[in-house]
Amino acid sequence: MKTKEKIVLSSIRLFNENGMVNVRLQHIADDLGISVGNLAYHFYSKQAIIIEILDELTELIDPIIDENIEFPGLMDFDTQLARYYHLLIKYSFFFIDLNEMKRNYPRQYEKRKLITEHILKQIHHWLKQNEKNGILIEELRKDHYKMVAHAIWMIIAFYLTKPLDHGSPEDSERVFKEMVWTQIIPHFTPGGRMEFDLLIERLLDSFTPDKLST
Amino acid sequence: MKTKDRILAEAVSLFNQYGLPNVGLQQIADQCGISVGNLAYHFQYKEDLIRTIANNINAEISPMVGADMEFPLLIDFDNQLSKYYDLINQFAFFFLDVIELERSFPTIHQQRVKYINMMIEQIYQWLYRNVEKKIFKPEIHAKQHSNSAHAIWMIISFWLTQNKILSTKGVESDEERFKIVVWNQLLPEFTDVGLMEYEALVLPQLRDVELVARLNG
Repeated sequence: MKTKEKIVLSSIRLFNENGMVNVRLQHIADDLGISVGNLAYHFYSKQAIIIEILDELTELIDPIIDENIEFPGLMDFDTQLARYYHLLIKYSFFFIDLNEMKRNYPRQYEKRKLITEHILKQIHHWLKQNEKNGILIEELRKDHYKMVAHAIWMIIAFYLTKPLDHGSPEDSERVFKEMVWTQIIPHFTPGGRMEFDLLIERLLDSFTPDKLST
Repeated sequence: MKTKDRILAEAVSLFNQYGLPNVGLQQIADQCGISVGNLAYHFQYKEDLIRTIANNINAEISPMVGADMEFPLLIDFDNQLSKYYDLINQFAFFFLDVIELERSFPTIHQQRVKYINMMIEQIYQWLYRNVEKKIFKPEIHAKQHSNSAHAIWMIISFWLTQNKILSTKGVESDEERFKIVVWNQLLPEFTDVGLMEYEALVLPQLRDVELVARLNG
């Protein structure tokens, strides 16, 4: 691996663990066992590293949040949830430290807002499509599914700040998915519920082989 | 107001505004119009200051999250939501600054996790009792209501983080919007009787139905 890539990886980890504000170039250099001079040869400032990381994130996230991407079925949505999860957790510092972002990285902060809007739209579109397909019941109130989409986004984003202990990484993903699916469960039609029990149930944290849904 | 109380109030306001790691004793002293020496007479280190604030939060929150608290009507729970909202708003840094507290003040962090869990448990108990009273439908999936309680807590805190930073609107409309989103969580859970109570008592409180439409628009 090239030094530049190593610097990026180490910075992401340190930012996630300690918060962006608390990490200095010296920490990153120490973490890699190189001199600050060598580090500065690749990135002259912390800001330069952050911009590089966010360019990398943009490249990875853009195809996932593209408006034209379709994930019609329940299983497809579950897969999409996993994509959100892995990406957001890898770059969690970017989604957590809003204050710092807004103050010092306005352009990247705008990008973050754009990502949020796209994900919200994707989830809402999925809910409306499944309403049309008879998987989900008709909206109880005008804009109900807009608010459900909003709640799901909050869970996705909030979950990554990990204010509570969610156990090992694998458990954490299962708990996360279960939290999101719990938002959707009350809205299934009988047909939708059957499909859910068949396809998704066994992937969730509450699932135990001997205790099928009650 | 005594100097000590003024220091505490200004510190909370600065922590909320700039984040815990970005505020030093000097800045707090400046804000109070006193010298750092004077401030140090009351609080020698930033840590002392934070501990005192944490104890004050303790005093306010303990009666609110008691296990024996009852919310006989839906409107009582709506009032409790307002109390959560005010408390978290007032001490936003304590509830929302996830990384810094855990890293630098682990015992205070532990205390915070305890409170958060108590709030979630309180919401869960309320859901559970209202199922018994046939206001909410029974669970249709394992762990559904404990997950719902957790989700409501996330919405409460997330809402406030976002608004602290994003919002330029008045506090009052924020609280209403926040409540609409929380109640919307519970909408599919109501029995017919529950829905009647909700529409008669809670919905008029949320007044501006147009807000619902504008929320994401």
